Amino acid sequence: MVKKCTSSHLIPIIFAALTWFIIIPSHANLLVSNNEVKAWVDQYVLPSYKNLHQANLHLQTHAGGLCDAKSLHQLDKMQPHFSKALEAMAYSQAIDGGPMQDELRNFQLYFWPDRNNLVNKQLAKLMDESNLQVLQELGLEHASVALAGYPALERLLFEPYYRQTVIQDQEKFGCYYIVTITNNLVRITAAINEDWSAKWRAQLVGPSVSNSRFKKPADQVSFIFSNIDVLLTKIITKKLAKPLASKVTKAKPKRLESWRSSNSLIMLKANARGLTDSLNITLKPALIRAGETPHWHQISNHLSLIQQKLDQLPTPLVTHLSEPQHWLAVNALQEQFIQLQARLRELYPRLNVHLGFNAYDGD
Amino acid sequence: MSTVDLTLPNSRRYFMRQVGIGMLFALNSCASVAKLNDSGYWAGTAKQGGFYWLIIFDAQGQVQRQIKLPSRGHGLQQSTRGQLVVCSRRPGVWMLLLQNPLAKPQWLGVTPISRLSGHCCFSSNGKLLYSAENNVQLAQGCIGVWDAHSGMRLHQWLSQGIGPHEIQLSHDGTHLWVANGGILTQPKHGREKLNLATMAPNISYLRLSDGTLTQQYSIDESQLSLRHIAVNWRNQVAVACQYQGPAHVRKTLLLLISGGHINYLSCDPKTTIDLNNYLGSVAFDISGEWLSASSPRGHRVVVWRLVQGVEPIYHQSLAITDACGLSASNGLGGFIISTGTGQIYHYAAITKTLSAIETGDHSANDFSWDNHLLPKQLC
Repeated sequence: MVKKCTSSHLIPIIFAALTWFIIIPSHANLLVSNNEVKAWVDQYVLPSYKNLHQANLHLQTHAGGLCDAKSLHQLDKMQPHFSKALEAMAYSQAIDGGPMQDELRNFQLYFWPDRNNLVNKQLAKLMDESNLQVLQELGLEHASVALAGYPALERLLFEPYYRQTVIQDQEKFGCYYIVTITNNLVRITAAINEDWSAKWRAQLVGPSVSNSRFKKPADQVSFIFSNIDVLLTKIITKKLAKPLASKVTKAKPKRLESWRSSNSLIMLKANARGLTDSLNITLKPALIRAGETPHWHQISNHLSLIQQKLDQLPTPLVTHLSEPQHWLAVNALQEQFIQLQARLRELYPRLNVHLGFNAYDGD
Repeated sequence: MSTVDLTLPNSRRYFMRQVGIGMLFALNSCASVAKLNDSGYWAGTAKQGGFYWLIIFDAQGQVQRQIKLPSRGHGLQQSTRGQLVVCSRRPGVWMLLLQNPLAKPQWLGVTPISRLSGHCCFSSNGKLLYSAENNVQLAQGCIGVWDAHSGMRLHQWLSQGIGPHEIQLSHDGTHLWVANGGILTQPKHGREKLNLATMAPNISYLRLSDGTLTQQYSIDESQLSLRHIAVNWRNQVAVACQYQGPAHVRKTLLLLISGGHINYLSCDPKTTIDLNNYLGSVAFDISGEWLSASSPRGHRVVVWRLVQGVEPIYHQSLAITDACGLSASNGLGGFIISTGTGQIYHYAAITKTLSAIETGDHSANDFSWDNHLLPKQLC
């Protein structure tokens, strides 16, 4: 027997259909899972900070004997270890939040950009005065961040004036200061590793209301992609836009980061690797699981193009940026980063990722 | 009764969702009216699906009404007569006025020489509306005075500083507290800060009868923009600041004006660093004894208690991702906290308990909550 379809039968059907549309959000299955969060922490965050700490330990070791036999050769021998440490730090920059920001460690490690030329000013004053307080235990912890990390060390190891000052100083202030900086770098990265192992890892992978940092899965995912977005913004607006300026005749190569040690390009490449690894671990599985593989291919294509463009650039970038063909190449590289960021930002709402709405753009 | 704009061509599913929501609210309009009369409701502005909204939600986090805004909103206020106003974010050109939370929207526009700063408030009898504005020609802060029923602009006063941001009525309704943030902007430069080297923020106390300045407070830190304020029944004013100086220098960001003096409320050094030189909102609880301030950049909410209304005691710091909106809940020491990641929490200061307001579908959790909630529940 065929039932007669009455309006009273239709109402619950219509209501159910409407409810379904309301309840099921668009692309509801397009989510980054807790497994991906764990993988990001275990395969990217922890190893990158471990490597950074190891690099600082090597730097510290090579600084250890400096004051017994100070020479330009000894300073030269430290340079590759310094570059390795910078490269490790740049690779870790896709995670700049968390313990890195506690106690202003990010500024203590790497005070850049330095808009007011504070490192030069503070370093000149310090070397002139030979202020022994900074050589005391925790002396750099209480000193200006401009004196505490890689930028000051870079000048001491690479700038001819400071190299000579370190070598010729009978009181050995300069070489002891180098040792003190490397000790400080080791102290900071040890603390970052300790904080991740002791607290942050568990907090990031286990969101709950009782969790003192991450209450919801949305918070952990927001944390990851905010960090990735912050690095992209930093690359686009600071690492590339400032040195590029508006045209080649206005290029400012000395606005590149760590140009004194010719590490600008090495750091950009490390940044790109950090971004690629982070997105491979988090975004790729989420998109593929959701049947959105073409979106991943687009992201992957941007990352490959960035890699290609980086590989084609000459080093040291600081000596080539003012040349038209290389300026154009760096400009094209910046455009690729801009497109990557735009593509990712298009995807975030579909992944239920809220980049810091008020944190980035409050009033 | 819900006001939902149906011209959102995002996707078929999104469109159908909105149609469904609209129909359900239409079916449920009487119930909604009854609810708004006898239960707790809060309001805030938010972003969802690429659009900006005024959202009215209940204690369970269920959205009861949403109105599409022309652009990003900012501050909200309610009058003693139940009128509700939303101000556009700076440099803003519109205000949304509702004669009651269920009323038809009235859209108010500013003159070409003015830009709204994001905050407005009502006179104590609800007859007048005041808006914080920047006068583009004078490069001076102004207070616009409006008829709160017709929406007609009546006149304007000087705010006694540059870049007025939040304004609040005094405890007795005779004066207006104005946070002149000190930052100069011009429409042709968008939100660019044009005077960081010379800024001079202040808190001004204006007589409402004629707009004259009766008192002004300033601090030594010229780059500490005094932006958001909350006023309690004792006429104490909590001031939440944003530091415009170098990022590696961290400043105390919360101040209290009490008994004619302005003082810093200092946290421990770690919390000061965590706040990241930026407070986004500040609120008193219903008693005026508890005070909270949010730092979305530091992912923090700090809570203070004014013991016996006088002595400020630091109470707690909560880590909440992108927390910004703050509102007094119904309980003593209680706050509603909203986040840009779409979460809403209730915090009970007395028990130090933070609870997520878990909601069902079409909930307040779907939104990226903006800077501010209504300071207290709707009446």
